[in-house]
Amino acid sequence: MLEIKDLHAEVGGKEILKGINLTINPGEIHAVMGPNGAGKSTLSYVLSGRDGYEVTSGSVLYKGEDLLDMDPDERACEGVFLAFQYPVEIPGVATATFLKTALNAQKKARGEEELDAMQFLKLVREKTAELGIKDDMLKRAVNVGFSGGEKKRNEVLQMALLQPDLMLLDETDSGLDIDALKIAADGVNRLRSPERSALVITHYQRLLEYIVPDFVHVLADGQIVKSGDKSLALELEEKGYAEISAA
Amino acid sequence: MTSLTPLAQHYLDRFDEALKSLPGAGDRHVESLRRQGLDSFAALDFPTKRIEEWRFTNLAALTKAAANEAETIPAFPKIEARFSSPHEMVFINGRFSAEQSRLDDLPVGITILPVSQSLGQGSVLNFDETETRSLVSLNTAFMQDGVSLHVEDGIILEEVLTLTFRNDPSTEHGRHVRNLITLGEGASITLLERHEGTGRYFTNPVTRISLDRNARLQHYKLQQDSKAAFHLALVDCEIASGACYDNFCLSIGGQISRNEMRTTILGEEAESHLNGAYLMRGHQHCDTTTLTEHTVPLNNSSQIYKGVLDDNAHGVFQGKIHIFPDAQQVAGDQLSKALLLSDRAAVDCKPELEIYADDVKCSHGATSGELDEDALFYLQSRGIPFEQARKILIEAFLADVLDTVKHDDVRTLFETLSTAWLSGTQADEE
Amino acid sequence: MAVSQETVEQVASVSEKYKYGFVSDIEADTAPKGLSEDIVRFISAKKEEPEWLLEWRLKAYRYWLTMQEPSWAKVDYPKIDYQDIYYYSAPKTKDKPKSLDEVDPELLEVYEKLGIPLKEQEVLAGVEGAANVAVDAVFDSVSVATTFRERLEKEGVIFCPISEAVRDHPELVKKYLGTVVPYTDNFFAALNSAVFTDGSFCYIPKGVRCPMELSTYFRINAAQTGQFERTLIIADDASYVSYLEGCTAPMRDENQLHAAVVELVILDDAEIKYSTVQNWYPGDENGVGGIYNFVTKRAACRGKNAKVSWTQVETGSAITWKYPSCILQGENSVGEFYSIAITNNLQQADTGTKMIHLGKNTSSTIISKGISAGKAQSTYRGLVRMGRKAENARNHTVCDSLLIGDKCGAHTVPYIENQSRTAKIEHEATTSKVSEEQMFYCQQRGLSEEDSMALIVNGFCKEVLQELPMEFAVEAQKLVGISLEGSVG
Repeated sequence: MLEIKDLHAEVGGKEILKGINLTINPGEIHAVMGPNGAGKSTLSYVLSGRDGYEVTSGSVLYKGEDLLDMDPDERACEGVFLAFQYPVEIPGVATATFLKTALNAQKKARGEEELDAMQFLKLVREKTAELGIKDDMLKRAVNVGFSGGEKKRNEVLQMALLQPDLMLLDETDSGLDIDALKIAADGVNRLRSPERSALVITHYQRLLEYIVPDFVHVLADGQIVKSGDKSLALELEEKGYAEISAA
Repeated sequence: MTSLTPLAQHYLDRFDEALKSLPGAGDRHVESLRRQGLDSFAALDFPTKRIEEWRFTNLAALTKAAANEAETIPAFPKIEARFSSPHEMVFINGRFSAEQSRLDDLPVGITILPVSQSLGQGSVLNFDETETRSLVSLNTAFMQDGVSLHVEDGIILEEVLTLTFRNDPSTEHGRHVRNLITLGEGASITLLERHEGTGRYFTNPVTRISLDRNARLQHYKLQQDSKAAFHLALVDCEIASGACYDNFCLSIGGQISRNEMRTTILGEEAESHLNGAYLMRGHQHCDTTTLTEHTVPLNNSSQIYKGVLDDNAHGVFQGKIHIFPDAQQVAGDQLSKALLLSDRAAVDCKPELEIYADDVKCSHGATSGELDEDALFYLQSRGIPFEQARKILIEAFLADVLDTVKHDDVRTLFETLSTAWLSGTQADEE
Repeated sequence: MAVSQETVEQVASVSEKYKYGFVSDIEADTAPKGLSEDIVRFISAKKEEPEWLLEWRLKAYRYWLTMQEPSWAKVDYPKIDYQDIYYYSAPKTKDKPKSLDEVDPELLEVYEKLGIPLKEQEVLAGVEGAANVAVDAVFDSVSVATTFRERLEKEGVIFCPISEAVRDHPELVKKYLGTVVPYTDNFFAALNSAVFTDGSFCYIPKGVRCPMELSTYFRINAAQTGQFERTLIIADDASYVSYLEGCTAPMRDENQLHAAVVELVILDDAEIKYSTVQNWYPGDENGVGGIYNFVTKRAACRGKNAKVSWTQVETGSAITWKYPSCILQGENSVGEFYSIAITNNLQQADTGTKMIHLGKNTSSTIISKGISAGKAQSTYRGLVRMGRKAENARNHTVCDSLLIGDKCGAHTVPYIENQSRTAKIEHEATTSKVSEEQMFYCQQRGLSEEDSMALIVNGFCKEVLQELPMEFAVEAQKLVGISLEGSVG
């Protein structure tokens, strides 16, 4: 699914990622944990193709193709989904409009039939019901005036609708109370399948109680310093990053 | 060409005579500058409402009248507010008064001289070919005196330096003061500029300010001129990177008063803050016109002006933020609020944005209206008499703009004066 | 009628250059170039006008001669040679057409290309729940065909070319023409008064709610032809009408002049809703060609509780100089101005409104959205004036500018004049750009760069788009996307 080789990247001339190696096979969930400033968000932005995140060397293969060569929207249409740590407000654009535009853009790119208004509404109502999201969110402008929890729910809803192959979750747990956290995790777990993979980026072990990863990696100073199974997360919680990184 | 206004003609007629008693008499360079100023003024005359920047202010009362300041205008009580400052430079009718000034205790590194004594040194007086503001040209031609102040690199003065301009009726028309203020790198100083007087007179101060890197100037102005006076002031300020210009003007006096300020931001991380309050009643007219130019990226500016207008008073606010091409990541905010207390009061407002760079955040707001009836009733319903309730609400209206005055003593002075104004100490005699 | 957000998708599907850039070849009956009293007389004679109208035109012409072209607007264009313009160009037809069937087929084809819903069936087709639309088509200054006449006549609504109104309803025209925009008003209004060739006339009688939306399409065709239409709409007591105006012009290298005048008169309890989608040819990427659009639009709310609402989407023209205004004279009268002005490449727009509050309890709302891209300059210029007698008058103004790219400019020049203590005026304005975060967020969900931009800009304009009647809103949303083409990346 995803093969990252010796990935170096810089932001504003400063090297943040210093040789990341990571392979994610279909169906696997990988968690990347690390202290603030380790490069966690940079990794998610590099993978999703944000401007200003300069890859200086290394490669990323996604489904066997060069991911770094694609525009952000091409990556999205290929099934890469980034759940943002800080979802962006877009005034005046109703959430429903946004979702439908995005969904049809992706369908069009894949040569599938686009949905009309009725079909779309039916589909989105199914998803909101499944996720316990109130329909009135659809009428409001994208993330405008949303609470932190609502914004994250909106990300989960988008993920449920767009059905990505690779989910990148950037600190999805930040700013969430336990109930909201469960809803977010439930959204991810519903999508779990043998074909679908996820990269869960988090600072705390808490989220991993609900989204149980197959592998856990520790990111420190731009490199993966340790990898293991889910028990590594617990170990981290106990000993702290400093000790693990130093080991 | 149409004929000049009577006052402009008066100035032209007496130029040769006036030259003899003005500083720099006999100095060919100075006289040539003055003559260029005069020619430029003669071509422009006093501004009229046909000039966009003057569309809301009519100077006919000044320019159409025969130039006679000596006519007796009864003095009216002025708000007395004591303010002691160890350093004070005093000008009487536009000329330096050594007796009344106290400048001996200023620390080393601060050079302050009357312009009349420093004309030979550098560019105190200058003439810019491209100048289109006739009041600057007039000032160049008839400049009597002014402040020449230089603060050297790194010098910081904690105490307030007061510049007092006192005016009494006199036979000479006009007070044309020219101030030049320069702050060196990292220098910091607080100025309080006071204008006061009795009788009918015309004052036309022109101030040029230049702030070197990381310099800070807190420039406070109290315009308490006589209510028969014409006060037309211009300030040009250039701000280098990291420097901060912080201006506040409280306008209470004047029959017609105008504060025209132009700040030009020349460096990154520089700041320009122009704030003020104007309290007008009777037939007073007060005009605040600002232009903030952001010529380079990464800096910010703000403006807050509040006006309280009673009787037939007329307030004007024209503010313009101009962002040059490529001056990215600039923030500019502007707010103008006016309170009309009478059915005959009026306010004109033109908050303008001219923006040629895309990565900027600019906003302006303008409101105008009367006191909030509901709030007034609420206070009354709690037993507060109408007049007092009204006063409380007006004070509240002014509070946030007065809070922008960072110097405690100056803020207290301004608050005292505002409160006194509200109590009608400076009642209209008409 | 609110715009369905669903239609936004259409923005994404459109990717065409100026699609109305074709020249149709219809033999024109043209007066010689230039302007003189003789030309004014020629036009008046061609239109078989009564003496009083000719006199009025001549007065306007003589007054115009004494005037100076205004220079205060923030627009820059080469000097117009008023003697180098054709002032009259009418499509040649043997007799006045009695019905659409008699209209020159090539002309109808032109309309078809424009997508004008000229035929009733076409109007009704596919637009869910939309009201009927009656079209008065102005082709190079002369109304060609008017649909829905009968149905309107039944209600007593008069909707016809103004030249016909002069003939058939002289008392109405005489009573109102030039009373809202006198010929002395400004340079272009004076010019228009002297040489206007046609335009629409509309009278809604007392108590009538016009059963359908009325529509006029303006289109400039012949080369070097100035277009000077004159529109006069009168809403009598307690009546209502929604009027749509759409403009297109073919691609030409020379700049063409357009100086229209629109006058609205609103009496007691009446309401006019006037919507415009203007996509005159804006010139090419290098600023060659394009329309100079100098328009005077003004509404007089003369009666109590009168209401007028201007909604405009301005995407075309090389130069736009336009300030639809409201004179709020009647007690409780209401003025509204909703505007989107999009400029790209080398376009320049100086547009806004004037709200003149004269009566008690009058209120006005201004919502202006300016978007600049490329090397364009866009200026909002507005006046809110509260007269001494405008007790308890209210105004709320929101004026937002969006910049796309670092070579364009956005300017805001509001004039706020208050002489009424009890009036309340609130004005707010912001200038910002489409944030990189917003663009990335949309792209991460699969939208292309241009679609992301169109979506975000449509969101920025939403408050105005939702004021448009349905069928216009769809077109307007598409236009937003088209107009910004080439502005990203």
